[in-house]
Amino acid sequence: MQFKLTKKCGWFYILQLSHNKIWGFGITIHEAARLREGYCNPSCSKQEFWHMYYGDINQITDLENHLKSEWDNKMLVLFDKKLEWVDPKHNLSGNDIKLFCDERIIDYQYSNLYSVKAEHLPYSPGKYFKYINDDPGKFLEPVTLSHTVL
Amino acid sequence: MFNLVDSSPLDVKVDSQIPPNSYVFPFKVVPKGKKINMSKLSNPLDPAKLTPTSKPITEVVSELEGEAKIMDIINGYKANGKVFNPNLFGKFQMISVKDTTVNDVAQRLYDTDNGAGIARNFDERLLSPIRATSQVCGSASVYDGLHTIGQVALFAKHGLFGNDPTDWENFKFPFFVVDEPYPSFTSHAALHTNGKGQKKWGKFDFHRVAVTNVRIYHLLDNKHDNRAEAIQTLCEKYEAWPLPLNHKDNGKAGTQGHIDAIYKWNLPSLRFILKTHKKYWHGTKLDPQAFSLYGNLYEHMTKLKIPTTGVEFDKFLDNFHAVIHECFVGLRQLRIETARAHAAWYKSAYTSRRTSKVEVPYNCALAIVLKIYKKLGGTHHVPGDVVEFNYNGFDIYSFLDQDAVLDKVDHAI
Repeated sequence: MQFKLTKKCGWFYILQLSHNKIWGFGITIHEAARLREGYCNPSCSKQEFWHMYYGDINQITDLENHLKSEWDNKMLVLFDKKLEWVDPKHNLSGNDIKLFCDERIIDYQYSNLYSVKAEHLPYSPGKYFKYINDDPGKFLEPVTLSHTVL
Repeated sequence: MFNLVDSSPLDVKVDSQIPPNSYVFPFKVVPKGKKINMSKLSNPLDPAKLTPTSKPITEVVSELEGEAKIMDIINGYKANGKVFNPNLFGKFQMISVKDTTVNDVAQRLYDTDNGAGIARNFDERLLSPIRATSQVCGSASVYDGLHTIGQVALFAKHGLFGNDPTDWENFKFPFFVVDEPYPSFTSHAALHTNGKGQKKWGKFDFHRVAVTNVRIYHLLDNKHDNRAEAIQTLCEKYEAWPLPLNHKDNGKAGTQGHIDAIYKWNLPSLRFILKTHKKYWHGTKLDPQAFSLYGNLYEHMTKLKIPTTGVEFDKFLDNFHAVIHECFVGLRQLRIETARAHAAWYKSAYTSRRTSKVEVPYNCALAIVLKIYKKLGGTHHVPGDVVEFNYNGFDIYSFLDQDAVLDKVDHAI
């Protein structure tokens, strides 16, 4: 199949912190650096991206904004500041976040967004999606609802 | 200002092999609004649930006890043994005009327009008590309500209360007096009453009262209230419920907090805005871009007598939205990119002018989408916005994102 990747691509990731099991999400252009410097180093533990999407950065940004709008009252508030972590009291998991994202990508026809194949997940420090733009079929697949539950 | 434009000033490459009537617009993905389960949201102005009840304060207190940020403070006071003195509460007193003074530091200069407004719309029931501190000499030093007491005293001097005008200085009015004679407290109290301590009404509060005046109390003789109710009805019909900023559902699809925007447009324009947003973007947060984009499109087309209904217009609107979806993903990104491109274009086009903090004109996003539409060979009549933002040899089109817009358009044509 033909993958339509634009020049400016980015990642949307879903993760569960290894030390407290809280679920969160975010977007980045540099996945390796974000994982190490954003999560592993500050928590002094190995962290992983449980699931990832890759594609046009505008569609990635739009997806994140939509999730943040719709889940605003599900976000964790710590010391009066709302964070991009899901409050555990809502009993939501990575599958719920993924289902939300999958539905949005399909309903909204984000034609340049793809899911990372399960065989490359979870994404951990040391892994690299080298040449993903040259050989997207190796790492990516279209988003479908049948692939939702991991 | 508004010109009927049959063809774009931009270069349009049209394949001569394709018969004119069967031209296929190159961007095919048209966004579609998604059904929302509105029952999961809460409409504070739901006519089915609005009833003229009064809530007892005990219920308010119970609600406050559920707020951690308030109870943390209460518990902090208790833990530190803090006790407040109810004897320091202000007290209501009827005080005569002659025993009233004005603290020059605490009070603003008398605003005669404000005073005239009070006099013109004088309603005894709506006058607030005057806030004052009791001074050592026995007078009440006013720190809030100067304009009110000024007008009341003036009315008394002219016998407008049925009083003896020669005895006007003994006319009494309700005061709320704090027994704290230090002058510095008076100015501090003025600051608190007029700024720091005040929770001003938000735009939604004014909207809510106007709507409930009609829906609960059936007060139908106020033009503003009737318009507010009509606006609310439209918003409910097209599932874009106005909500206050601190409402738990505010920001979700099916809601909006753009109270200024819904009042800015007349009802037919507002209907077009909400209906179009629902058709193409329902399921996504209502971005403020929708108002100026669709409002200007509708009004400019209507002014030129270009039909805004029918098969041809619907086809144009689909193509219009295909442009937005392909080049900007959605209205939010359109708004951001419009602001960026406008700033860059303005800097180049108007080299002799200050270019920092230039406001983006309301029709700029519309112009951009129409330019792209025409560039792609769109044939529907469009308003003159399409030729705007072209000055000094610079067209804003050239300042759009190379990857997201220009390359895609070039590739498509």
